[in-house]
Amino acid sequence: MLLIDGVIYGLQLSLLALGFTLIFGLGGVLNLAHGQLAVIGGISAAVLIGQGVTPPLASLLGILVAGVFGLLVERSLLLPTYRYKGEARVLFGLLLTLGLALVIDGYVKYRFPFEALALRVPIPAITVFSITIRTSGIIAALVASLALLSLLLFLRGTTLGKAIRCIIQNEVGAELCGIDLTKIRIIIFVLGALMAGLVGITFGLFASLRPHMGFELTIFAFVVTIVGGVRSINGTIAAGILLGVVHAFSSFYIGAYLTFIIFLATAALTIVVRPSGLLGYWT
Amino acid sequence: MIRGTSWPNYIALLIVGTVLALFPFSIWGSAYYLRLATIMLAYMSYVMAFNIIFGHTGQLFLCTGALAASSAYLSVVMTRELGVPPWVTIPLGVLCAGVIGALFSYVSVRRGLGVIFVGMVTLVFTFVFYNLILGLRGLTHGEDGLVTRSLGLGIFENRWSSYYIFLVILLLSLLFYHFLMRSRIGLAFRALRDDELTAELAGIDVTRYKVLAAFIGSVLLGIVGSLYGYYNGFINPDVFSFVRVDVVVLVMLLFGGMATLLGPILGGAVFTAVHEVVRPLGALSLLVYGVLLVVLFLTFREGLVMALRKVAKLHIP
Amino acid sequence: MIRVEGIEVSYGEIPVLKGVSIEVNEGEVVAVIGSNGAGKSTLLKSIAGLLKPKKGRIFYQGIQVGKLPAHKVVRSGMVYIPAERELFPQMTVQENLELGAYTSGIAKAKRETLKFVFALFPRLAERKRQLAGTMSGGEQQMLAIGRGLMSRPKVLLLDEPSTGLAPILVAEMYRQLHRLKEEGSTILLAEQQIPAALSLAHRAYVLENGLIRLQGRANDLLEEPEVKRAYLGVA
Repeated sequence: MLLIDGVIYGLQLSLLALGFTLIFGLGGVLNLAHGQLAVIGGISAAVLIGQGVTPPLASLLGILVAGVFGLLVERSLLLPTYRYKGEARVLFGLLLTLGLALVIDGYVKYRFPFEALALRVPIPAITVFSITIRTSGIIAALVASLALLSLLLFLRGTTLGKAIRCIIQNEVGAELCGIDLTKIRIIIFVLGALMAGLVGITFGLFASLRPHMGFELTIFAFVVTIVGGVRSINGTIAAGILLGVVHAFSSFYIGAYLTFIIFLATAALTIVVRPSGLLGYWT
Repeated sequence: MIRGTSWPNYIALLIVGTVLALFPFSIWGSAYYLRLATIMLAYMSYVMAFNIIFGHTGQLFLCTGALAASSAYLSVVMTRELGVPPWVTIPLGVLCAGVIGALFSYVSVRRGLGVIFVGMVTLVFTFVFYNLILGLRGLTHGEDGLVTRSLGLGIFENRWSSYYIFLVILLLSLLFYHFLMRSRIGLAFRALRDDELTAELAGIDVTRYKVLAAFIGSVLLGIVGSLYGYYNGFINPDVFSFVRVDVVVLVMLLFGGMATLLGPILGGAVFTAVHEVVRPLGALSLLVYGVLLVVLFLTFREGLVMALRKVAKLHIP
Repeated sequence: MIRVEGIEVSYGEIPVLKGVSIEVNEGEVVAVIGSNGAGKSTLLKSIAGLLKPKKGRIFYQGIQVGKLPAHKVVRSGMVYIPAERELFPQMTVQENLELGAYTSGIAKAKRETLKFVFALFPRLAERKRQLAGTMSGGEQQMLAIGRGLMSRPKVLLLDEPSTGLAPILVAEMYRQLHRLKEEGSTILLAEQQIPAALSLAHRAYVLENGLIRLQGRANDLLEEPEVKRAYLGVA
């Protein structure tokens, strides 16, 4: 039971972290506002539902809002970051996205302090092999898995996907092949924002999405990225599922706060012991 | 031995020292503002320490609060439990902070960790330490904290003397910084900040200097941290928390200007002013911080000191 | 085809090229020779769009390209092959080559070009499933050139292709470059290895301290006492 919950949670973490990894791998931007993008998606949907929009449509719109927001941010805020390279860019992007995260956090908490996204499904639970699983959890898992699978197919199969993978490996080389870095960075950021928005919705299904979860989500995405390998797509996905399971068991037996510490400690340990992450490689 | 004379630095220090020394009179000794200013001075010293650790040797220690706290807690707990007077326990606390900082630095250099990773590891330390304090409830009283008022450092009961003590500490650290950066050590710092590999090849023991920088910075954090603990009247995990110390110190340094003498001062002053202005906004204050952070960094990318240098065409220290 | 007029390029505050003008005509192989730090890479990188000149203009087929970003330069038909190669280490030889053809959309044309490259460098064909990062220096260099050829460029900008290669591999690579020359390719070549470069090129420029010292036909330059001294002393 815990295991299943863990896997469902993990799949969502993977999706969230994947967006985070891609944004970092391609643009060298540590998007500290990533969790807030999920919050935007979820809370937008919640607000729309409050206005009478049907949940499925509201969810879709919520995701789109997150995506549009991501586009605006990329084209405005992040422009100066690309003028730097390497560590200077990471630091600068970090600060700007931190500022952005504070702005979003502050605004959402101010304007919608009691809003939360909690989607209810008609059939509360299904029993399979004497294990009772909530349907909402299943839907969340399905949605997340579908999203992950389609992303993987996209990255492996299409030319654009290959271009993305090669930018992660070598920016200069990619440029020399005629790949337009700017255009692809925009695509990836928007994609990452959409994924975050989607996770915001699935959280609403699986548990609930509250405005204050922004930073927590960002940190979780960060930890998963580190453990899975900062430049590894497969590693991030695997790490997400793994850590999701760890989270489920740890929260149950030890408690939420310590689980948080354990997560961070795992990341620290990975950095010290095996910086390239679970399956990652070191470039 | 480094390019240019020391005169700009001395003049700057003189100006800063004078302004700050006269400040309490300009506010007629108001209790509220004096306390605010004293805290500002303490934070400026924190930023000076962080400047040495991060600004000069690029080690992103996201545990400045925890280091300060370790010194404070060690000293206070020892004084309470063992009855040993503060002037003995404080140096011990300071040493503790120094050793922890040096240790983190050593491990990071040995493992070749990059900036972000050092940040991550030290961030974990912050949270682990926070939890440690909460866990050792018997000694530390967890969230309730420990009262430091009656422990023997009566000098902090007077708000004027407190202010000037912290001012003296700040000025001493500024002087120390000045001489440090003029020495061989400072030269080594500049070399390794530019290009670590080349510095290593030029015969500079990068490990040694980074660890040294971390040690010095952490010692300073310990000094200020423990004294602040006594000044504050009580300590609890919140006083040295990540949000209260680390984030603030980072923003102050980055805004003021890394690896400069006046950066911490300017950063500290501006941020304190902003904090006061933003305070009445309550719930919206975070939002304003965010906006300010973004706007400030977009305009003063390298810090205020650099921007002023360009505008005034002077080499402001 | 390429015309560079008086460009000045700096790395930050340090000037590297102080007013360089060269020309490359269609079907020509032009070499830029000179010692380390003369500015050869900088010149090629500026033409490729990786660096922006402070002054001066760069023309390609009559159009100003000095301000174009690197990826647009590739699309216009000039491909730069850096000395550092800049391959994708985690991808196979074939994937690297296919990415080289990113700018051309037609699958059939890509397949044809792939065959052409494999014919030129049989060793790459043998190792087409091997990860680029695991290959030797010589093979990586061949892969870099092959990848550059995949977009069917009109001009090849080769930056010190002999870097880090054993003499026997250098000779082999230059044999392939001769084949390309015979097919009528336009090549601008920066090289430290003077004899190999001058025997391949039609014309050459000698670059020293950011300025052109000598220029002329490759054969003539071989007779120049300065050049002779340089390569007898160095090469």
